[in-house]
Parts: sequence; C-alpha cells; structure tokens
Amino acid sequence: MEIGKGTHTITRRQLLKRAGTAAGALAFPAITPGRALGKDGAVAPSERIVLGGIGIRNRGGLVLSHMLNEPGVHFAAIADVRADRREAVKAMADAKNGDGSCATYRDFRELLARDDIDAVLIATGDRWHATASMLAAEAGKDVYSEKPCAMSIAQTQRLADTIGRTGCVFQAGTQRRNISNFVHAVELAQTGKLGRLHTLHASIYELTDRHDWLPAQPEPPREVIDWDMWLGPAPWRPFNQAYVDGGWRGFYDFDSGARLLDWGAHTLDLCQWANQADATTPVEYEPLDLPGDNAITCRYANGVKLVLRRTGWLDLGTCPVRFEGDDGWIETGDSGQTVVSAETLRAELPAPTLVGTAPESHARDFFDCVKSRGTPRANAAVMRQSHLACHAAALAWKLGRKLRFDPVKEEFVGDDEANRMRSRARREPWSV
Amino acid sequence: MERVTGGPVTGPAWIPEEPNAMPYSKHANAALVAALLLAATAVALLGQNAAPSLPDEAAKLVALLESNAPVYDKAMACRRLAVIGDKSAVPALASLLTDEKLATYARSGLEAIPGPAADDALREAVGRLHGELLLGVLDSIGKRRDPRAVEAVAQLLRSEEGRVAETAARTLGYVGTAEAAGVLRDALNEGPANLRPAVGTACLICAEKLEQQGDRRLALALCEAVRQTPVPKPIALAATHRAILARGREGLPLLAALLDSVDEDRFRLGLQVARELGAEACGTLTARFADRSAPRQALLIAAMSDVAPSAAVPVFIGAVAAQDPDVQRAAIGALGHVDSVAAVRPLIQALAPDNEDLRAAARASLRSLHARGAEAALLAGMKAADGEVRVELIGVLADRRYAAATDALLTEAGSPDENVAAAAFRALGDLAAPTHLPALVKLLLATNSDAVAVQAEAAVAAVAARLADPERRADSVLAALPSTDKPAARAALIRVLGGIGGQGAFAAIGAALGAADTEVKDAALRAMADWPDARAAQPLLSVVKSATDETHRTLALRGYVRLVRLTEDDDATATVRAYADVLALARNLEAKKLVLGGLADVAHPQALKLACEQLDDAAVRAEAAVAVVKIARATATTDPLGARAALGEVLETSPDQPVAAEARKILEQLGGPLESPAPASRLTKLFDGKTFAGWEGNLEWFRIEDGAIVGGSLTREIPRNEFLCTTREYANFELRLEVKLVANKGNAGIQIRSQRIPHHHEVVGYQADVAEGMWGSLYDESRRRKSLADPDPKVLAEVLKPTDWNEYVIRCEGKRIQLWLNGHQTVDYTEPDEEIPQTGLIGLQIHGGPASEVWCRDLEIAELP
Repeated sequence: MEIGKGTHTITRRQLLKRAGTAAGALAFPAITPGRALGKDGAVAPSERIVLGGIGIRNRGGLVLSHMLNEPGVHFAAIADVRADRREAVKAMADAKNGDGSCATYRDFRELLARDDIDAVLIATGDRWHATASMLAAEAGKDVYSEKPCAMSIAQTQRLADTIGRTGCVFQAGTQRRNISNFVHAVELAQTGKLGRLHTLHASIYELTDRHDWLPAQPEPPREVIDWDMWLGPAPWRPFNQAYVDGGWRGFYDFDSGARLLDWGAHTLDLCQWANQADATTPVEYEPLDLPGDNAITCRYANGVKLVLRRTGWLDLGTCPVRFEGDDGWIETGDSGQTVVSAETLRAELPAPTLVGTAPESHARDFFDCVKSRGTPRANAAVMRQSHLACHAAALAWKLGRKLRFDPVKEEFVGDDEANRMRSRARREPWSV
Repeated sequence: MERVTGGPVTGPAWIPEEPNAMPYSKHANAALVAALLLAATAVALLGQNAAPSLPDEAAKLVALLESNAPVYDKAMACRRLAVIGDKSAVPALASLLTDEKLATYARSGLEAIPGPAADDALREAVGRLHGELLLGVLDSIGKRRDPRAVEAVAQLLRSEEGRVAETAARTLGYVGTAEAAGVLRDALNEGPANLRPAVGTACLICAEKLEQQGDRRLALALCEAVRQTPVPKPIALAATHRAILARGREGLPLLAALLDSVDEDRFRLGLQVARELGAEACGTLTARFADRSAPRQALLIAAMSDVAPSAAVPVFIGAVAAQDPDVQRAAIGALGHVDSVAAVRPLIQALAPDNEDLRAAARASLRSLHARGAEAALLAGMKAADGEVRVELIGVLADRRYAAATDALLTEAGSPDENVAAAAFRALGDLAAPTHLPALVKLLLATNSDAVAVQAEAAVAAVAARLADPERRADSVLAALPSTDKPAARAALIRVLGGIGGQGAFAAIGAALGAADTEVKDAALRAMADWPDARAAQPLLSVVKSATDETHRTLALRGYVRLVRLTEDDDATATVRAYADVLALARNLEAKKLVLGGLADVAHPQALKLACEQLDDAAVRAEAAVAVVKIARATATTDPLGARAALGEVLETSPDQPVAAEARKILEQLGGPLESPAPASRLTKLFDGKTFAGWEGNLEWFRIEDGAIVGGSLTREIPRNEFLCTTREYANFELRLEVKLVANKGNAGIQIRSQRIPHHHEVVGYQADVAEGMWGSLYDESRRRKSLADPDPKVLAEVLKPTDWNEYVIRCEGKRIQLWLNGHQTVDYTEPDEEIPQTGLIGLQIHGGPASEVWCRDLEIAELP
C-alpha cells in the first residue's frame, strides 16, 4: 500500500516560506478592499467573503463568533447532522445579519454545491475534519479547519496533497501562530537569543485510546440526528447519545491519535516553528514510562530534543510550551504570561496584545489570504509536518516502544507494525 | 501494554464538556481484551498455560471471524489482524466485505496486509459487489495502488450505479500508473459528459502520482487534456495550476495569461501560482502592475511582497503615492518587509498626518524594516522633519533601539517644541547610557514646560537605573543640586532622587526636608514618604512630630505607616511599638485611622491590646473595633483569653455595630465546643472500640463489650475505686464521649488532668462526675475532695437522660475547664490555684460500692494548641 509523499517540493517550500519566520508584525496589513472607505465599515456585497459552516458547536461557535465580527465576512449557511445545532447556528447568524437569510442543511454536500459560498469553517470533530476539508477544497472552497486536521499519517498526507492540488487556501485552527506571546517566544528561539536550541517542550493532555463501544441506544430520526452522517468516514458502531454530546473524545475511531493531538497539534506545531523545522519532523520517538505522566521524547536529526509531556509545567495556562537553549529559556502559555530565564530576555519581549485561545487574529489572517490568495500561517504544509510528528509520537506511545521515522520517505524505519498503523480504512462512501 | 483511560475528563474550557455519568475507568485497549480473550480460549482449546504466539493468535482471530461471534468481537478481530495478520487472514476478511457493519473493519485489514493476496481479494470483490460496499473496496484499492486492478476498475467507468463510476475514476487516479492515465484520458475525451468532473479530478490526482514517479511528460499531458475539456471551474483552474508548476519557468507565459484574465478566479489563481513559483515570477508580476484596477494592484503588491520583496521595491515606492488608499496601504505594508534603504523616504512621507490608517501602517513598517543603513536614514529623516513627523520618527528610533541616535536626541530634548522635546526624553529613557546622565540632568534643569519635565524626570531615573552600582546612580543628580537655586528645578531634582534611590539620594532628600522653600520641601516630603526602605522611618517620624502643616503631617504619617507595613518582620513587638509611637503623635482622625488600619494586620496580643485601648476614643471606636476583631480572629487560637477579653470589650463598646456580630461569631467559636460534626482531621479516637491499646488499669473490673469500655459489674460488689487511665498525658484538649450509668445506680466519673498515686489504687485530679445528683459537676478527686462547680439542677433535669447514653464534652484550656452534657453547658470553671497541674492523664472511674456498671463509648479527643 502506497502512502504517498507530497507534491512539488517547490510548492512546499513556497508554502513554508511565509510561515518560516515569525519576525515582524503579526499579520500583513489587511487586503480586504473597501475597508478604508468607511460607510460604517460596510463592505459591498461583491467584495464580501461568503462563509459557510460545517458542524459548529462549542469550539466552532467560539471561532464563528469572532468570524462574524470581521467586516467583509458574511455567514450564509450551516450544515449539521443535528437539528438543534442547525437552529442554534442559524439563530446566531441571523441575529448578526439582521435577517433570516442563513440557510440550513443536514447534508453538507448541498452547502458545498453552492457557487456563492467562498469559504467554509469546519468544526465537526476529529473524525470528519479531513474528509470535509478535502471535499470542500475539491468544490473550490477555501477552508478553515479545526484541529486536529487528520486522523492518521496517511490521511494527513492525503489532506495536504489535496489542498495543494486544488489551490485551496487552508488555515488549520492552531491559532497560536498568530498570538503574540507565542509568536514572540518563537522569535526569541529563531533569532538565537536563547543560544543554540537544545530542548523544546510541548504540553499534551491525558492520552487515551479506547476501543470499546458504549451501550447501543435506539437511533433518533435522521432529521433530528443523522447518526450515519455523524459517523461519516468512521467505522460503524451502534448509536449512543453520549458520543454526539461531546463524549467521543478518547475513542480511537473518533479521536485523532490517542488525544495527543488535542494539545499537541498546537504545542508541537509551535516547537517545530521555533526550531525552524517546518519542513521536517523529528526522527526518533520514545515513550517514557513515568508514573502519573504521559511523556514522549522525540529527537530531530540535528540533535534537538522535543519533549511531549503532560505534567511539570509552570502555571501559565493551557497549551504551554517551553524552549531551551544554551543561553537561556522561555516558557509561555494561554494565559499570555511568559517566564524567562533572565530578565534581559524579557526586554526583548513587547507586551502581549492578544492572549490565549482568542481566534481573531488567526481568523483575520485566513480571510486576508482568502482575498489575496496568500498563505496563512497555519497552512497545509506546516500542518502536514506537525501532524506527522504528532501521529508518530502517538503511535510510539500506543506501541510502548521507540520508533524511528524517516521524514523524507515518511515511513517508520524497521517497524512493520508501526508502518501498518499509519493508515485507517474509511467507511464508504466517504472516500476522498 | 495496557492503555487505560484516566479518571474524570476535565480539560481546558474550550474542550466540549462531557456528560457526567461516564464510566470511563477500567476500559482497556480492546485489542488487549481480544488477545486475552483468545489467550483464554487458546488455553481452553490447547490446554497450554502460555499466551499464544502471533501466528497462533492470528489463526484464532480468523477462526473468530468465521464463527458466530458478536459484531463487536469481529470488529476488534479485524482491527488486530490489520496489525498482525498475513495472507492467511485474507479470505476471512474478504468474506466480510459484504457486511455493512463490518466492511470497514475488514478493509482495515485488507489495506494493511502486505502482499498480493489482499490485492487479489479486493480485485475479486470489485466483480461481485455493488453500491456503497463497492465504493469502499474501490477506496481501498486506491490506497494500495494496485496496478493490476486498472482493467477491472476501468470497466466500472461504464457503471450506471450511483457513484460507482466517479469513485472508479478516482481510484484510477490514485493508482497513478501510465495505464491508468491512458484510461482516464480516454474517458475524458470519449466518456459521458456527466462523468467529466470526476474524471478531470482523477486526471489531476494521477498527474500528481506520475510526477512523483518522475514521469513529468505524461503528467503534463494529462493536465493539458483536462484543460481542453469542459469541466467545472475549480477543476479547470487546478489543471492550469498544475500545468504551470509542472513547466516551471516555461509556465510563466501561462501565468501571465492568468494575471491578465478578466475573470477574477483566474486572476486570483495567478496570484497563488506566482507565490508558488517564487522569485522567478516576480518579473511577471511587476510587468503587469501598471494600469490595473486598484483592487488588483493591491493584491499584486501583496503577491510581490511574498515572492520577492526587494525586487519589487520600485513598484512599492511608486504605489505609496497612489490615489487609492487600499493600494497605498498595501504598498506601505510591503515596504516594511524589504531589504532596501530606499524604502525609508517614502515611508517617512507616508507619516504625514492626513490619514491615521496609513500613518499607522507606515509606523509599523518603519519599525520592522530590515535594511542596512535604515537607521541612519531614519535619523537623517528625523532631523529634517518637522512637527508631528519628527515626533513619530523619534518614537520609531526608540522602538528600533537605535542607540546611536542618542546625541541627536539630546539635541531634540532641548527643542522649543514641547511635543518633540517630550518625545525625545521618552526615547532617551529607552536608549541613553549612564554616561549621558550629566547631559540629561542639564536638559532637565533647562526645561520650562511641565509636560516635558515629567518625561525628563522619568528619563533620568530610567537611565540612572542602568548603572550597576546602586550607590552611584544618583551621582549626576546630586552633583547638579548645588548648581541651581530655582525652587522648581531643585524640586524636580529631589523628585528624581526619590525615583533613583541610594544613600546619597536619601541624605539629600533628608536635607531638603528642612528647606525653606515649600515647593522643595513638599517634593522632599513626598519622596521620603514613598521611600522604599526603613531608612525613611525616623525622618518621617520627625516630620510627624514637628510639622506645622497638617497636610505635611498626614503625608509623613501615611508614609510612615506604609513603611511599618512594608518592613514588618518577625518581631511583632517592634512593629507594635512603632505603631504606638506614631499613634501617640497622631492628632487627627485620619491619621489615627491610618495607623489602626496598619495595626489590624499585626496578629499579636500586643497589637490587640493597643487596638483595644483605642476603643475608648469615641471618634475612632469604629476603626478600632474593626482592628480588634481582625486581630482577635488571627490570635484566637494562640491567645484565646486575650482574644476573648478584647472581643468582650468590643461588644461592650459597640454592641449595635456590624462588627459586633463578627465579634460574637468568634466568641462562639472560642467559647463553645468545637463545631459539630467536628472535622475528622481534628478529632482522633481515644479508644479503638476493640482493645485497651493506649489504656492501663485493673482489667478485673474493666472490660470491652459491644464496642464500649465497661467498668464495674452488675453481679459483684465493687471493693474499692478503680480507674482505667490513658498511658499518656494531655494538657489542652476537648474530649467527647458517650457514657451510660446502668439504671443510674452507682457512682463513676471521667478523670482529666489526673495522676495515679504511686503504689495506690487512687487517682488525683479533676473529675467530670457521673452519678445521680452529680452528673455534670466538676469534682476534685483525692485532692480538694469537693465539688468545684455544679450545674443548675433545673437545666440538668431537662437535659439528662438518667438511664440512657449521654454525651459528655469536656474542654480544658489553660486554667479553664468546661463541661457539657447533651450539648448544654453544665460547668464553666477557671482554676484560681496556681499550684494545680494543668496536664495529666485521662481516666474512667468506677466507684467502690454495690454492684454497678458504667459504660463508655465513642471516646474522641482533639488536642488544642
């Protein structure tokens, strides 16, 4: 079975260029035309970005609320397998638009078939992200997909390839590449102010890999909850309300990589960036047997260590990262606070302007690129590499042994079992 | 290798909540479950004790698939076979391809098992399956990229069924061989129109695969075929996209065509492709900038900036002067990323004050511009600019940390333009080195403007702080003091000294406290009042004593109290003395209140006393009461008597104030038994209910029955008093137990703070009595031999359960002993005799006399500090 590598190296290199350095202003000045023209910030309909949503609940609702505030963005339609979510999101959008114009669909393919929709926000839950993103890309839409973006190494490759092939402007919902305290920490690392980097730390949440089935419950009517479509590409299992209400996390079939990518998609991604390793991945992944912790130590070809761990962090909020070099270290998290090894380093840090998980800046980056056809910070090429690394680390944990990975061939070295686990079958008819 | 889920799932707020009643524990990896299941089966079948080897395990799993096992078990067997199975598992897996529930699990296995057997099975299935199940098999073939499947799959292009033909096309694309490419190209040309979108997409997928294998020529041919065919726009664009990239440099004319296109989507594709081609595309972009619409120009600028910023500098510079503000803004932003000093002048021009939006963009770009010579150019520009632009540029120089600008900034600091001078001082605060201090001080003295002076003082302090030796920091300022007698100037210097610190500064400020001029004196007093360490205490106190101006006194007093709080150490008595000193000097209410506010934080009996003394002063009674209550709360456990007394005074003097309710609450806690139910952490068992561990005595007359200690006998006369005592002593404690005197006959008691008389059966010490007519009394056994305190008989009658279990609570605290029966206090006794010991054993007495029994259970004790 072939698990293909990426497309043109030229494509990947160019896509990585934009995200390669953190330096300078947080976002290129907005390109949206008409912004400076006033008229109460109104933007002509022909200049608007028309946005659709697929699977929007808690996280998606937060992101959407920020997107709705962007001038020049009009939310036109929501697709969801749950009737109550369709109604709730429509209400949110109608309130913002001041009319009843937001359309609802149970089947997102109908939404994708609309010519007027330019871009989609996908927040369905891990099992659907890649498939929905790829179908949207093939329909000519730009995509903002919540993370984790893909369920396996193979699906990560296929997703990145599809994005590249279709010319889709893609932003993974790993907004910390656009949040100032993280950006500045990465700048310190990239510009050598910490000296030669030796160890990067990425926080992860509790690792869980469940294969059991919850007790079967009677399936609701399709118009209320479309269980078949909720499952989508995930293998069949009997219905239980708990999955649909958010209790899907930790299940192998629904959750990407033993929950490692829950935070890892953010934190490991930031470490890749700090290490200027956006074009590669670590080559070794070793799970550590520590009571009361989940930890995996990874190593890049150039010797830099990357430690994924759950505990032992300073109290700086969720998703903390820590970068250590010969001349100093920095640790920061979603609270916006930063701790540095020497106060002289702090002089290099401007005050954070945007903290934590607020997605405004990241959303704005996406919409600017939708207009300019530029490359967002958390683009498919960057996402590909950090997701490969995350999945490799998760497999090392699952298998309980050290794995070696070849970032060029994108396969494990000398471990057939691990290589077999790079891919999962997708339930028909969701093959993309 | 068990992977067990953790406990409750409470993650960050942005993880969707999970339902509460989820039994997440004890769920193991199903593969392990399956393996264990099968190991057990293997043991049963083979009669072995060891777990099966992998091939054996696989064989068992295959057998399971062929059996009537439940769906779940089969699903997990498939999953496991995906990891460990070989060709021997293929037939069983293939047979599940028709099962709607299990087909995906089966295909996991078939996708993963290497070798031709799986390919054969999937190919074979193509011939017999229909509908969605067939789509799944096609997907798997595409993932395995089986070249021998091309013929079979190609036939499905003619299928009329649902999505079969489309999926077949896609599969051919992923197989990606030259043979597949041929089939797809034929289908594009000759196949039905409604299949073209799928075939078009498949061609592009195939082209990707071919290129990876090095067959660029064929890949390109496919792309061109798609471009020649009517297909939906996204596919046509994607084909052009790939066609250009495959050609590299030779694709530039195609790129040009896109950029020239009237069609917006094609233009936008051009922007994207240009970025992917990189620097090579820059010429194509710049060549078609002129005469484009404003929106397109803005987008072209963005693309040029991504592609080759420095090559496009002339275009950007020209565009800064464009008519359209969006184009201007794009150009200004782009210049922030170039490597050319030529960007500086136009960006400075863009700082002109008509458009705030553009100004902000220009400011940002000037800050981020990375070009050699940029700073020198900025400096020159600053000198040549006037008014607001000059101010802006001063700010930029500071943001860029351009220390070489310091000399120029020193000049600007003397500017008659207030805004410029203030900006210059702000910048100097960031940039200047300590060697510039004399010059800075001189400039500070020369300024006439208050607004500028504020910045100047801050700058001097900031720069001085950079000197390593704290004692040297004030040198320049101190040196300048004698040089001026203008009060405003001297006052400014004194203020600055307050911000710098060190002994020299302190001495100068101290001296200035006695200055004749009020402005200077005022500045000195404020500086002293804000001084960060205890050195200031005495000078401030002197001012409090000697000042004639009430404002000054208050200021000094406020500073003094602040210092006392700041420098509080372990010696609380010193702190209290400091407060007492200043309290004596306080003449007005505000001052006294200030002191009481600080005193309230000192948790010490002497502070309590001092605060109590203020209760007499009606004017500050309220604040004093608050202070007393706060201190009492903190000292209640270490000095309960003092706290009680102080709180009592509060109740006397301020009975109707809210603070009285607080006082009562604390008194209740102090005076009554421990809260019930007592927290488990405080009460410990004195008797374990089963053994006499921790106790000693004559076991002829004490036994354990039904979890209780029983003293005496109902069948025999008791010859003499007997005592069962603890083996250790207790001092301050609260003891709780339940006690029953059978039929209320006989005499017993609970000894506390007692001692055994050596070689004797008697015990000396206090006793909580247990006998008719004496329940709840405090008796002095074998010592003063009298009842020390008795309850009110009426209360006792209501409270006592004569023949049943009664709850006795005995509390010993210092000299005070209190007894409660069934929650009602019977005794509150304070020992006047200094000689009586306040520690001793706890014991149970049964009195000599006719047959009688006393029962005790649930003995618990909480020791008090």
